[in-house]
Amino acid sequence: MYSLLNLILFHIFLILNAIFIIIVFVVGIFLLIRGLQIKMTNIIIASIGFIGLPIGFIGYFVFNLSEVFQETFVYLAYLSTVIFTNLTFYKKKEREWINYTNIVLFSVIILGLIQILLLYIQIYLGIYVYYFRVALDFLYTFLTFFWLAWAAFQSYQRLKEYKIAPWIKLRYRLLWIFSLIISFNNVPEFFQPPGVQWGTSNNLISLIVFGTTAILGVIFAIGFLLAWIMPNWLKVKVKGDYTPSQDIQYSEEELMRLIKEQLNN
Amino acid sequence: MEIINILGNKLAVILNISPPAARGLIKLSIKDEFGPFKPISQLNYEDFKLILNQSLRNRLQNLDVVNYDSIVENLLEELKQNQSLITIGGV
Repeated sequence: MYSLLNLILFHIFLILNAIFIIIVFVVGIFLLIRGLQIKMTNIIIASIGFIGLPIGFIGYFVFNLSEVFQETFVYLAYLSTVIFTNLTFYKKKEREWINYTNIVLFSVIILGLIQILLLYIQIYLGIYVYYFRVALDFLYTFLTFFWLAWAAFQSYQRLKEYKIAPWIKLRYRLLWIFSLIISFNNVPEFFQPPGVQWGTSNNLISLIVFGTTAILGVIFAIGFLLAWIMPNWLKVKVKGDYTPSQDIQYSEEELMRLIKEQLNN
Repeated sequence: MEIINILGNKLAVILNISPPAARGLIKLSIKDEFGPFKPISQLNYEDFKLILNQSLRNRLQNLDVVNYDSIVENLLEELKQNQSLITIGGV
């Protein structure tokens, strides 16, 4: 009875993981196309992370490639997320190398390398470092996504009183809320039973860990899908009584004359 | 583009002119810097910095605005604070 239930749950969670991978890939392709269209480097960088993440998952789950393979793509995704956050929210007026944005980036670079190294030690040298790795993984994931959540939250707080299109405000909200959710994504991994492979269907605790991670992943993916590829019905729904500013078309001479008049009044 | 509205509205308050006139002045500065063919959607943070620092500064000088340096600084700060709008509102 238990094993049948476990098997059903396992397949449900597997489907959720597949949904997560598909959505993340779709968002990645969308961002890549938009980034190329509007020539925005930060969007192209974000798209690389979104496209890379599913490649890592598919390599591990479908083609049975090593966990190191998957972790390398996770590293790529996390790095691109931090670079995206820095380029989108924290560009400085002047260049300065020692600042908190570079400290976050440097920390994520180091934590990501440590993850790959610890995974390698565990798999190929057989040294048990699971909880140490998961503890550092928590820091790694939290830093990456909380950084984005905090940046989007701060900007939203600053912009919410401005008269700008409501769907843009909603995009900020979705970004900070779902980034915050995913920053806790690896907490379930602390409960993974020692020596049991992640996602094993005949161990209930492992299955719950697998399922919780899948559910968090899908929630994050749907949030980001709505944020970046916002359907028109949602834009209309949040529009309320907002009307965009309509500027009268003046010639350059007319406009300069108008400004001079207004300055002299 | 929303960042133009925000910079324009800020400029309007500083110069005590109407927001459409201030937005127009910023759009003229964009045209001065990049010509009429670069789409506004392709302007990034560095482009806006250049527009404010050069073309807008020149336009304010030509309009005999006395404190143009501090006005440009003010707008650069506004741009820095709200730079994410270029991406978040542009995609």
